[in-house]
Amino acid sequence: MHSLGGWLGFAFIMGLFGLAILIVLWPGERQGKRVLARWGVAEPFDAEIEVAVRYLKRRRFWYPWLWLGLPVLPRLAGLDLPESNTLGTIFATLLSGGLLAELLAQRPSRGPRREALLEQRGILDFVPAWVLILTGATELAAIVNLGFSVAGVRLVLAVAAIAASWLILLLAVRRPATGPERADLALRCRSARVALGLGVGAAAGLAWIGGNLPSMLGFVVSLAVFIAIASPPGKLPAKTAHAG
Amino acid sequence: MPLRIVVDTENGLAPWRQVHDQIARAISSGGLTEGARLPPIRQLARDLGLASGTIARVYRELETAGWVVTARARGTVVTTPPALPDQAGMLRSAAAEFAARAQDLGADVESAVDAVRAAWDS
Repeated sequence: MHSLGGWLGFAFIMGLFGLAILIVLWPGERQGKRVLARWGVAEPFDAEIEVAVRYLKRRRFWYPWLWLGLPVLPRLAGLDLPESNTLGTIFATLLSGGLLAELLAQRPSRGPRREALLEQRGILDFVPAWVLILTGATELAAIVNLGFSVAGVRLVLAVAAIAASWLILLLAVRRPATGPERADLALRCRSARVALGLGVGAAAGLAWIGGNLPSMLGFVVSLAVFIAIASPPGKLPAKTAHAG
Repeated sequence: MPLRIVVDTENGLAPWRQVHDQIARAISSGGLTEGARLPPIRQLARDLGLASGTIARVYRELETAGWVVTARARGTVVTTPPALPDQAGMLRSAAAEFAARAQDLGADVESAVDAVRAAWDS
């Protein structure tokens, strides 16, 4: 009974903490405008800002609960995971939140008025080939390094993070179009690139942990790749730029 | 700029017919030129919240009428129709769409026809 009470108290405090984080993170018009401007939509109009705010809400809603819950889940399941670290939890939270948001965004439109663009959408419309190659190569290096060294749970976690990032990319391309075209395309581009960057970052955090020079080099290179991929590109892919 | 397809599930016209007519109109008006690729059936169906079978029917009808051809490698591509498009049929569809919208707005026949005349002259 004491144990149950302890758990309930713990859950209550964590719930309040999560709620406080959610209030701080909750996006408004200003954040919507900022995210669109960063991803190439200059001077967005109201309908575009609305789409961007909804996009951010779909992600940020999950972050506090994932941030608090993800480190606890393996212990509850009795899994022997590597020591928890803040960076790993951040990557896991962002990837899981992104994945949940993209899964929810797959729901088809149910309103009476529906719109679609008569144009094919593909991965390369949002992510250039060099990003895909660089991502694949960096992640492969991390996996090979893990396979030769520590392996075990870290390898499984790295593979899961990489799989989640590529799944987010596919879902971002696949989800039904919402709102004005240029905001929709810019946000797909953001989802795709940030997810791939997070996959690289998560794999690097798990793979390049030794205190030796190769590990340090591997981590630094992965970090540079992460920044290059997850940042808004100087030049948006043709389709996205065309819509702007 | 890519063309936008709009479906209104409450306007009385079957969704497949709305999509079909808009694509056919885009081809006949030159908005979609020969060689333009249409999106895959599943993508368009997801975007419009319709069943894949509905869009498959649209593409099938367009192919039968000679507006598009479907090849495994290239997908569905706009082509030159072998015969003149069914202008009368398209006009009937557009009129039905307009009549349904006018009725929704509570207009009578005379005021709807007046609105068409005014639009025609403008």
